Amino acid sequence: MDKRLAILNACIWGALAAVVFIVAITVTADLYLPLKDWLKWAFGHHWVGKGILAIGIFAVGTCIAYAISLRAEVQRIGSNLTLLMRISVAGTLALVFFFIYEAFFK
Amino acid sequence: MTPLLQNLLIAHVIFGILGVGAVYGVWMGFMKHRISWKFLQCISFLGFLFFVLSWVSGGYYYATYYGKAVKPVIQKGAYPWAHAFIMEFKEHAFLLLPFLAAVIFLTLWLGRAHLEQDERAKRAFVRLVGFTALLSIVIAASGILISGAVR
Repeated sequence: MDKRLAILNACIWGALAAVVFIVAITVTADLYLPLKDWLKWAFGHHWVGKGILAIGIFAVGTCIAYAISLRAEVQRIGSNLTLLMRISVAGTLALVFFFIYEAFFK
Repeated sequence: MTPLLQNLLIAHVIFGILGVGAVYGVWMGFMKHRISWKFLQCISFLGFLFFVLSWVSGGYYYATYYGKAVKPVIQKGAYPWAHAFIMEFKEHAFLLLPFLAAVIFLTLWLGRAHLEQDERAKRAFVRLVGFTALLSIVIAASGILISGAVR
Protein backbone atom coordinates (compact mmCIF):
# COMPACT_ATOMS: atom_id res chain seq x y z
CA MET A 1 0.00 0.00 0.00
CA ASP A 2 1.38 3.37 -1.07
CA LYS A 3 0.51 6.08 1.48
CA ARG A 4 1.03 8.92 -1.04
CA LEU A 5 -1.44 7.36 -3.45
CA ALA A 6 -3.90 6.77 -0.61
CA ILE A 7 -3.74 10.51 0.24
CA LEU A 8 -4.17 11.42 -3.44
CA ASN A 9 -7.09 9.02 -3.85
CA ALA A 10 -8.73 10.45 -0.73
CA CYS A 11 -8.34 14.03 -2.05
CA ILE A 12 -9.95 13.03 -5.37
CA TRP A 13 -12.94 11.65 -3.42
CA GLY A 14 -13.01 14.77 -1.26
CA ALA A 15 -13.08 16.98 -4.38
CA LEU A 16 -15.81 14.78 -5.86
CA ALA A 17 -17.92 15.24 -2.73
CA ALA A 18 -17.31 19.02 -2.83
CA VAL A 19 -18.32 19.27 -6.52
CA VAL A 20 -21.54 17.31 -5.94
CA PHE A 21 -22.28 19.42 -2.85
CA ILE A 22 -21.74 22.76 -4.66
CA VAL A 23 -24.10 21.84 -7.51
CA ALA A 24 -26.71 20.34 -5.15
CA ILE A 25 -26.77 23.25 -2.70
CA THR A 26 -26.80 25.83 -5.53
CA VAL A 27 -29.87 24.31 -7.17
CA THR A 28 -31.62 23.48 -3.88
CA ALA A 29 -31.05 26.94 -2.32
CA ASP A 30 -32.52 28.65 -5.40
CA LEU A 31 -35.58 26.40 -5.39
CA TYR A 32 -36.06 26.27 -1.60
CA LEU A 33 -35.58 29.83 -0.32
CA PRO A 34 -35.47 29.02 3.44
CA LEU A 35 -32.14 27.26 2.76
CA LYS A 36 -30.78 30.36 0.99
CA ASP A 37 -31.99 32.51 3.90
CA TRP A 38 -30.28 30.19 6.38
CA LEU A 39 -27.01 30.43 4.42
CA LYS A 40 -27.28 34.25 4.52
CA TRP A 41 -28.04 34.18 8.25
CA ALA A 42 -25.25 31.77 9.11
CA PHE A 43 -22.47 33.11 6.84
CA GLY A 44 -23.50 36.67 5.94
CA HIS A 45 -23.91 35.77 2.24
CA HIS A 46 -25.32 32.62 0.63
CA TRP A 47 -22.33 32.32 -1.75
CA VAL A 48 -19.82 32.62 1.11
CA GLY A 49 -21.73 29.89 2.96
CA LYS A 50 -21.62 27.58 -0.06
CA GLY A 51 -17.85 28.06 -0.36
CA ILE A 52 -17.11 27.51 3.34
CA LEU A 53 -19.35 24.45 3.52
CA ALA A 54 -17.74 23.04 0.33
CA ILE A 55 -14.29 23.34 1.98
CA GLY A 56 -15.71 21.49 5.02
CA ILE A 57 -17.20 18.77 2.80
CA PHE A 58 -13.84 18.44 0.99
CA ALA A 59 -11.99 18.07 4.31
CA VAL A 60 -14.44 15.58 5.82
CA GLY A 61 -14.77 13.63 2.54
CA THR A 62 -10.98 13.42 2.24
CA CYS A 63 -10.57 12.13 5.83
CA ILE A 64 -13.30 9.49 5.42
CA ALA A 65 -11.96 8.41 2.01
CA TYR A 66 -8.41 8.24 3.44
CA ALA A 67 -9.52 5.90 6.23
CA ILE A 68 -11.22 3.66 3.66
CA SER A 69 -8.47 4.08 1.05
CA LEU A 70 -5.74 2.89 3.44
CA ARG A 71 -7.32 -0.57 3.51
CA ALA A 72 -7.43 -0.88 -0.28
CA GLU A 73 -4.63 -2.89 -1.91
CA VAL A 74 -4.85 -1.07 -5.24
CA GLN A 75 -5.39 2.69 -5.58
CA ARG A 76 -7.59 3.34 -8.62
CA ILE A 77 -6.24 6.79 -9.50
CA GLY A 78 -7.11 6.69 -13.22
CA SER A 79 -10.74 5.65 -12.84
CA ASN A 80 -11.27 8.09 -9.93
CA LEU A 81 -9.84 11.00 -11.96
CA THR A 82 -12.18 10.03 -14.81
CA LEU A 83 -15.12 9.92 -12.39
CA LEU A 84 -14.20 13.38 -11.01
CA MET A 85 -13.96 14.78 -14.56
CA ARG A 86 -17.33 13.27 -15.57
CA ILE A 87 -19.09 14.50 -12.42
CA SER A 88 -17.57 17.98 -12.91
CA VAL A 89 -18.76 18.12 -16.54
CA ALA A 90 -22.24 16.93 -15.51
CA GLY A 91 -22.32 19.43 -12.63
CA THR A 92 -21.24 22.32 -14.87
CA LEU A 93 -23.90 21.43 -17.47
CA ALA A 94 -26.50 21.13 -14.70
CA LEU A 95 -25.61 24.67 -13.56
CA VAL A 96 -25.78 25.99 -17.15
CA PHE A 97 -29.23 24.51 -17.79
CA PHE A 98 -30.52 25.43 -14.34
CA PHE A 99 -29.56 29.10 -14.71
CA ILE A 100 -30.90 29.21 -18.30
CA TYR A 101 -34.21 28.00 -16.85
CA GLU A 102 -34.04 30.51 -13.96
CA ALA A 103 -33.10 33.47 -16.19
CA PHE A 104 -35.30 32.91 -19.23
CA PHE A 105 -38.15 30.51 -18.44
CA LYS A 106 -39.16 31.05 -14.82
CA MET B 1 -16.18 52.15 -4.85
CA THR B 2 -13.42 52.38 -2.23
CA PRO B 3 -9.74 51.99 -3.22
CA LEU B 4 -9.69 48.67 -1.28
CA LEU B 5 -12.54 47.26 -3.36
CA GLN B 6 -10.97 48.57 -6.58
CA ASN B 7 -7.69 46.84 -5.71
CA LEU B 8 -9.49 43.63 -4.75
CA LEU B 9 -11.35 43.62 -8.07
CA ILE B 10 -8.09 44.15 -9.97
CA ALA B 11 -6.44 41.39 -7.89
CA HIS B 12 -9.38 39.04 -8.63
CA VAL B 13 -8.97 39.58 -12.39
CA ILE B 14 -5.15 39.28 -12.36
CA PHE B 15 -5.08 36.17 -10.15
CA GLY B 16 -7.90 34.64 -12.19
CA ILE B 17 -6.04 35.15 -15.48
CA LEU B 18 -2.80 33.83 -13.95
CA GLY B 19 -4.74 30.78 -12.73
CA VAL B 20 -6.14 30.17 -16.22
CA GLY B 21 -2.63 30.50 -17.68
CA ALA B 22 -1.15 28.09 -15.12
CA VAL B 23 -3.77 25.37 -15.68
CA TYR B 24 -3.53 25.81 -19.46
CA GLY B 25 0.26 25.54 -19.09
CA VAL B 26 -0.11 22.25 -17.20
CA TRP B 27 -2.46 20.95 -19.91
CA MET B 28 -0.09 21.83 -22.76
CA GLY B 29 3.05 20.85 -20.84
CA PHE B 30 1.65 17.43 -19.96
CA MET B 31 0.93 16.61 -23.61
CA LYS B 32 4.55 17.20 -24.63
CA HIS B 33 6.70 14.23 -25.63
CA ARG B 34 9.21 15.09 -22.89
CA ILE B 35 7.42 16.08 -19.71
CA SER B 36 9.16 18.54 -17.40
CA TRP B 37 7.79 17.27 -14.09
CA LYS B 38 9.37 19.91 -11.87
CA PHE B 39 7.95 22.71 -14.04
CA LEU B 40 4.47 21.16 -14.10
CA GLN B 41 4.53 20.57 -10.35
CA CYS B 42 5.44 24.21 -9.73
CA ILE B 43 2.89 25.77 -12.11
CA SER B 44 0.14 23.41 -10.93
CA PHE B 45 0.74 24.63 -7.37
CA LEU B 46 0.74 28.24 -8.59
CA GLY B 47 -2.52 27.56 -10.49
CA PHE B 48 -4.14 26.32 -7.28
CA LEU B 49 -2.76 29.29 -5.31
CA PHE B 50 -3.93 31.83 -7.94
CA PHE B 51 -7.47 30.41 -7.94
CA VAL B 52 -7.63 30.58 -4.14
CA LEU B 53 -6.37 34.20 -4.15
CA SER B 54 -8.84 35.08 -6.93
CA TRP B 55 -11.61 33.41 -4.88
CA VAL B 56 -10.80 35.40 -1.72
CA SER B 57 -10.26 38.79 -3.42
CA GLY B 58 -13.27 38.45 -5.77
CA GLY B 59 -15.37 36.94 -3.01
CA TYR B 60 -14.93 39.93 -0.71
CA TYR B 61 -15.81 42.34 -3.54
CA TYR B 62 -18.79 40.20 -4.58
CA ALA B 63 -20.22 39.71 -1.07
CA THR B 64 -19.81 43.33 0.07
CA TYR B 65 -20.23 45.48 -3.07
CA TYR B 66 -21.53 43.69 -6.19
CA GLY B 67 -25.00 42.86 -4.86
CA LYS B 68 -25.93 46.36 -3.76
CA ALA B 69 -24.09 48.51 -6.34
CA VAL B 70 -23.42 46.54 -9.55
CA LYS B 71 -26.25 43.99 -9.76
CA PRO B 72 -29.05 46.66 -9.79
CA VAL B 73 -27.27 48.53 -12.62
CA ILE B 74 -27.08 45.35 -14.74
CA GLN B 75 -30.69 44.42 -13.96
CA LYS B 76 -31.95 47.86 -15.06
CA GLY B 77 -29.67 47.96 -18.12
CA ALA B 78 -29.98 46.52 -21.64
CA TYR B 79 -28.55 43.11 -20.67
CA PRO B 80 -30.24 41.89 -17.47
CA TRP B 81 -29.44 38.29 -18.46
CA ALA B 82 -25.77 39.15 -17.83
CA HIS B 83 -26.55 38.86 -14.13
CA ALA B 84 -29.47 36.41 -14.19
CA PHE B 85 -27.60 33.83 -16.27
CA ILE B 86 -23.91 34.69 -16.77
CA MET B 87 -23.07 35.96 -13.26
CA GLU B 88 -25.15 33.30 -11.50
CA PHE B 89 -23.40 30.59 -13.53
CA LYS B 90 -19.95 32.18 -13.10
CA GLU B 91 -20.11 32.64 -9.33
CA HIS B 92 -21.19 29.05 -8.73
CA ALA B 93 -19.11 27.25 -11.38
CA PHE B 94 -16.08 29.14 -10.08
CA LEU B 95 -16.42 27.28 -6.77
CA LEU B 96 -15.42 24.06 -8.57
CA LEU B 97 -12.07 25.47 -9.78
CA PRO B 98 -10.03 25.52 -6.51
CA PHE B 99 -10.97 21.88 -5.81
CA LEU B 100 -10.12 20.74 -9.34
CA ALA B 101 -6.86 22.74 -9.24
CA ALA B 102 -6.01 21.13 -5.87
CA VAL B 103 -6.50 17.64 -7.34
CA ILE B 104 -4.33 18.58 -10.35
CA PHE B 105 -1.43 19.78 -8.23
CA LEU B 106 -1.73 16.88 -5.76
CA THR B 107 -1.79 14.37 -8.62
CA LEU B 108 1.45 15.82 -10.00
CA TRP B 109 3.11 15.95 -6.55
CA LEU B 110 1.91 12.66 -5.06
CA GLY B 111 1.11 10.57 -8.12
CA ARG B 112 3.99 11.31 -10.47
CA ALA B 113 5.40 7.76 -10.36
CA HIS B 114 1.91 6.34 -10.90
CA LEU B 115 1.25 8.63 -13.88
CA GLU B 116 4.58 7.62 -15.45
CA GLN B 117 3.62 3.94 -15.33
CA ASP B 118 -0.13 3.97 -15.89
CA GLU B 119 -1.29 5.15 -19.34
CA ARG B 120 -4.95 5.05 -18.28
CA ALA B 121 -4.32 7.37 -15.34
CA LYS B 122 -2.28 9.65 -17.61
CA ARG B 123 -5.16 9.94 -20.13
CA ALA B 124 -7.68 10.55 -17.33
CA PHE B 125 -5.43 13.26 -15.87
CA VAL B 126 -5.06 15.04 -19.24
CA ARG B 127 -8.86 15.07 -19.65
CA LEU B 128 -9.37 16.48 -16.14
CA VAL B 129 -6.77 19.23 -16.69
CA GLY B 130 -8.28 20.01 -20.11
CA PHE B 131 -11.76 20.35 -18.65
CA THR B 132 -10.45 22.57 -15.81
CA ALA B 133 -8.62 24.80 -18.31
CA LEU B 134 -11.70 25.14 -20.55
CA LEU B 135 -13.99 25.84 -17.60
CA SER B 136 -11.62 28.51 -16.29
CA ILE B 137 -11.46 30.14 -19.77
CA VAL B 138 -15.30 30.19 -19.92
CA ILE B 139 -15.43 31.74 -16.43
CA ALA B 140 -12.87 34.41 -17.39
CA ALA B 141 -14.89 35.20 -20.55
CA SER B 142 -18.04 35.44 -18.39
CA GLY B 143 -16.28 38.07 -16.28
CA ILE B 144 -15.56 40.14 -19.40
CA LEU B 145 -19.25 39.89 -20.46
CA ILE B 146 -20.45 41.00 -17.02
CA SER B 147 -18.05 43.97 -17.01
CA GLY B 148 -19.37 44.95 -20.45
CA ALA B 149 -22.99 44.74 -19.27
CA VAL B 150 -22.37 47.28 -16.48
CA ARG B 151 -21.26 49.99 -18.96
